[in-house]
Amino acid sequence: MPLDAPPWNTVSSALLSAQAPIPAKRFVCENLSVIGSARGVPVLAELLPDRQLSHAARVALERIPGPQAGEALRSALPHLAGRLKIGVINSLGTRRDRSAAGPLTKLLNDADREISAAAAAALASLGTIESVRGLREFSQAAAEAQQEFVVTALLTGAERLAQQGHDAEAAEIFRQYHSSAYPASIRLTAFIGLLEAQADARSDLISRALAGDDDEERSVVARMISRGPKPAPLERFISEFQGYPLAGQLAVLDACRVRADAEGRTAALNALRTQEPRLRLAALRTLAAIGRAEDLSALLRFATEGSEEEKLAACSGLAAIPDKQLDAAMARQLGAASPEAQLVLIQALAARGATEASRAVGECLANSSEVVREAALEALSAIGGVDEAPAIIHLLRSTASRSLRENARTTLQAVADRVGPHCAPPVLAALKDARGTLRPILLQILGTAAGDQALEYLRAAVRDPDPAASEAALRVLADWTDREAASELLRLARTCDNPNLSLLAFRGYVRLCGAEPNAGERHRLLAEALGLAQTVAHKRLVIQALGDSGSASSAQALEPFFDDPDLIEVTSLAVVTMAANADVQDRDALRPALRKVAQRSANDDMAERARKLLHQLEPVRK
Amino acid sequence: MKPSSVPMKRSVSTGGFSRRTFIRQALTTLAAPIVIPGSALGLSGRAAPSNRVVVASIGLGFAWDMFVRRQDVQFVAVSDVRKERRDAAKALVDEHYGTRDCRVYGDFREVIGRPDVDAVYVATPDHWHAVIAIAAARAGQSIYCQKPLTRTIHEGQAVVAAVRRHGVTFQHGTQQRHDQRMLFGCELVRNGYIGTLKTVKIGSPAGATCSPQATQPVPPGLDWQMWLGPAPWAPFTPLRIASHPWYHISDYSMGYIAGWGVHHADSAVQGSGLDDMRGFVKIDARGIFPKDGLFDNPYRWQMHYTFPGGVTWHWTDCEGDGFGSSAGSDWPQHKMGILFEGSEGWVFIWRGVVDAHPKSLLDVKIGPRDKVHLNRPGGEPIPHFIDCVKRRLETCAPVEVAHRSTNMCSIAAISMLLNRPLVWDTVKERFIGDEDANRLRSRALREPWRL
Repeated sequence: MPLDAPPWNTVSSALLSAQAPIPAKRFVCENLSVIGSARGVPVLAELLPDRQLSHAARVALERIPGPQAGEALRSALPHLAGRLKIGVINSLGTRRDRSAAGPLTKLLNDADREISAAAAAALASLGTIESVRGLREFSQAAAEAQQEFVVTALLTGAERLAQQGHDAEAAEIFRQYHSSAYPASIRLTAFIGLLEAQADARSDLISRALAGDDDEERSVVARMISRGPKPAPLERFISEFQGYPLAGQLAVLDACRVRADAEGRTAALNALRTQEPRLRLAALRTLAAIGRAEDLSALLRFATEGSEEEKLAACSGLAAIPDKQLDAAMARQLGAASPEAQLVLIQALAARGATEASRAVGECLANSSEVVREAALEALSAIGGVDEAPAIIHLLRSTASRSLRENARTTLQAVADRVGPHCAPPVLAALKDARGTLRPILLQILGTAAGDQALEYLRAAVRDPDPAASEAALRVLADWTDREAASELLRLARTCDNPNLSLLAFRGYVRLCGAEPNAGERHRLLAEALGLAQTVAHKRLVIQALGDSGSASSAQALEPFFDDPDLIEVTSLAVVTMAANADVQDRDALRPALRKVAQRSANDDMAERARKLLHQLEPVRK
Repeated sequence: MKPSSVPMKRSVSTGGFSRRTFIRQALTTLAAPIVIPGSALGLSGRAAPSNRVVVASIGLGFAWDMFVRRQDVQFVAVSDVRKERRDAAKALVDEHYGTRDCRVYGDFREVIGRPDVDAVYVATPDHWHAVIAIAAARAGQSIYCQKPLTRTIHEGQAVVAAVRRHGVTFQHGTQQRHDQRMLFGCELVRNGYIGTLKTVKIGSPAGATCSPQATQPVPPGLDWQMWLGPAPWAPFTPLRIASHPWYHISDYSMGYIAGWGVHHADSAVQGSGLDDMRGFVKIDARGIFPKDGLFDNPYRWQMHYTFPGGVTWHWTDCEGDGFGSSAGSDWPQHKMGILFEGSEGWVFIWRGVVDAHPKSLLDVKIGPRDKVHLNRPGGEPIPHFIDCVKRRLETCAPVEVAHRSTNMCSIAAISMLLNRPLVWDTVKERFIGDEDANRLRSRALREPWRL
C-alpha cells in the first residue's frame, strides 16, 4: 500500500520496544526500506543480531543509500556468526560496498566454509581490482573443497572488472581458466568472459572457435554472431568459410540467414554444390533470407530433384526470398518449365502474393496436366484478378472433372470477393449462354461480386424460367447487403408460391430493415414490416429483429403479441433482449413489457430474466 | 548441502583440479541405477540415450510431467519440498519407464549437483526462480523456467547475467510465443496492416482477496524452511503454499499482474515491436489492495504505459474464463486478451484466437514483402526447448526477453505500490528521478540465500 513519510520517534520506539510484536517490527522495516534514510540506520543496525529481525533489518539496510548503511553492516560483522553473518556478507555484496573489500577478504579464511564462500561471492560482486586481487591470492592457497566457489567468484569478479573498464585485468583471469586444466563448464564461462573483455581479439576468438572442435564454444559464438546484442561483422567468417569444419560452416550460414547478411550468398551458393547434405540444407535455408532472382535455377533444381528436406527448404526459399525481381523471373520460367517445376513455381508465386504474375499462372489453366491446372486454380484464389476470370469460367464450363469444376467455382468466388463489382462483366458475359448447373453457380458468383450491374441482372433472374436459376437468384438477393434489394425482396415475399422461398425473401427484407443505421428509421421500417408480415413465421422474424436491433420505443409495437399463444415466447425473448441491451433509462420504459414477460411467459428462465431486469431497475426508481 | 556448495558440471579431471571432489557431497546420496531397461538402450523406439536430454524437475508446478512423456527425454529426478508430492511424482515417472530409477530430493541443490542432468525445469513459486536458475546456470544446466522470470527486477538482471555468463540454453514459460494465431496477429500489427499502431488494450485475470488465516503446525513431510527459502520467515498456514494463492502474497510473487499477466505483457511486447526497446517508458498504475487477510498483492488494477514513439498500453484486470473477480470496484475491465488499435484498423489476439478489422486482414498471408517475420517455433514449448538444448540453439523465449516482459509487470507493480506515475529507463533499468522506486527494484534475500 502507499507509503508515507515516517513520524520518526514513533518508528524508532516501535522497532526497539520489547512489547511491539515481531510482525509489526517487520512491517516498519519494510516501510523504512523504501522511505528510510541515514537517520534510521542506527536503530536498524541494532536489529542485525536479532534472529527474528535480522533479515527485515537487512531488507532496509540494503536499500537505504549512503555510507551509513554500509558502515552499519560492516560494523556488525565481527559480532555475528553463522547464518546471520552470511546474511550481512550477502548484503554487503549486493550493495557493492567497496569499503568492505578488506573485511571480506579476511573472511575468505574463515573456518566456516559457508562464510568463506559468502565472502568470495560478495567480493566478486564488488568487482574492484582490490577485491578480485584478494580472491586471486586466496585461490592460490585454497583447499580443493574451496576451489569451486573461489573459481566461480573469480569469474564473476572478472566479469564485473570488465564491465568497469578493467579489460586487461579481467582478460588475464579469463585466460587463466580458459585452459584444458579446468572442467568444460569453467572453460566455457571463461571463454564467454574473454569474448566480452577482449573486444580487439573477439574476431580472432570467434574465428578460432568456428574452426575448432569444441561444440560448446562454437555454439556460444554461433549465437553471438547471429543474435547477440552486439553481433560481430560476418565478413571475416564468410571469407574463412571454406576453411571451417562442417559445424563452423553451419554456424556461419545460420548467422547469415538470421541477420539476412547478403555477404553470405556466395558461400551459400557454393555450399549447394557440396556433397554434404546438412550443408546443402543450411545453404537453402540461408538463401531463403538472402537469395536473389538469379538463384532461381539453383533453388528450382533442389525443389524438384532434392531430398524431401531439400525440396521443402527450397520451396520455402522460393516463397520467402524478399527480392521482388524473383516474381517476374518465376513468371517467365513458368511456361517452359517441367510439370514438377511448374507446380513449385505456381505454389511459390501464390505464397508470395505475386499478383503481377497472375497472368502467367492463369495461362496454366490451359495446361495439359490436371495437377498443374488444379494448382493454378488454387494459386489464383490468392493472386487472381478480373483478367483471369474468363479463363476460370471457361474451365468451369468445359471441364469434365468434378474436382476441377469445384475448384474453379471456389477460385472464381475468391476472385469476385477480392475484386468486387469489377468481376461482374465477365460473369454477366458468361451468363448469356450459361445453362444447366452452371447458371446458378454464376448467379452466386454475381452475388459475391455485387454492384449495380449484378443487382439489375439478379432482379430479372428471379423470373428465370429455369426454377433452379430463379431460386438461386432469390437466395442471392436474400443475402444482399444494401437496401437497394429491399423492395424486390418484399415483392418476392408476397408473391412467391413456395412458402420456404417466401420466408427466405422476407427474412432478407427484415434483415435489411434491421441493418438501417438510423434508429428512428430502423424502427419505422421494422414497424412497417410487422404490418406487412402475412404469416406467423413472417411475424416471428420481425419480432426477433425488433428484439435484436429495436429501441425501447419498439416495445409498444410488440404489446399485442403477448396475447397470441404462437408469438408470446418470441415476443418475451425480444423484450428481454431489448432490455438487456438498452441503457438504464430506456430500460425503465420497458418496465410494462418486462412485467408481462415475468407474468405470462411459460418459459421459467425467460420469466426469471425479466424479473432480474426489473429488479435492477429498482435503485433508479428510488 | 549449504547454498554455496553448488558443484560444477562435466568434469575433466586434470592438474589436481578434480571435478569428482566438487560433486562428491552431492553424490553421496546418489546410488547408480542397477537395472538398465531396454528402453534406455534405445530398443523400444525411443531415442538412444546419447540422443536424449536428461531432465529433472525442480518444483512440481504446472506441466512438469510433460517432459516425462517425451521420447527424446530421460527424466531422472524430481525435487520438491513436499514429500507427498515428490513421492507421487516418482511413482508416475517410474511407472512410465517401468523402472524404479527416478530419484527424489527435498533440496534442489542435489539436482543441481548431478553431473548427468542436462536441463532443469523450474516450476517453483516465483521467489525461488532466481536462486535456482542461477545455480543451474553455474552448473552448466539448461533451464526451462516457469513465468514470471523473477520476483524483482534485480533478480531478473542476475539471472540474465548468469545465463549469458555460463552459455546455457534458457526458455521462459510464456507459451503464447508458440500460439500461431497470436503470432499471426502480432505480425499483422508489426507489418502495418492496421496502419500506425496507436493503442494496446490488455485484459488479464484479476487477483484475489481472502480472509485472515489461522497459523497451523507445519504438516509432516513439508520442509517449511525450504519452502520459504529466500522469502521472509512466516508462520505456516495451508493457503500460503497452495497454488495459486501464493501468487497473491507479495513475499513470493508480484501477484497476478505478473503471475498471469506476463503472458500478455510478453505478447503485447511482440505485437508492439518493443523487443529491442530503448528509451523511457512512462508508467502510471493504480491498484486496489486487500484491506486485510493473507493476501496483500493488488487484486484490481489500471495500468497505463507510454512507450518511446508514442504507443500506449492500457492494461486492466478482467473477469471471465474462470479467472479473477471484479469485486470491490467499478473500474472498467478490458476483455481478456490483447487489442491492438491502429490508424486503419485493429487486431485482437487471445489464446487460439485472432480477430481483426477489417475482416479481410484475417486472409492476409505474411510473405516476402513483409518486413517482420516473428520467430515461429513449431509445436509446443517443451519439444522446442528440448530441440534447442540438443542443437544448442537460442529458444523463442530467451532470458533477455523473459526479463524485459517481466519488467513490464514489475514497473507497474512498483508504480502501484507507490501510487504515483514513474519513468523507466529501459537501458539503464532505473527509474528516473524517483529513488523510492529504485529501491523497490530489489529485495534482500533471507539468509543464507544469495543470487
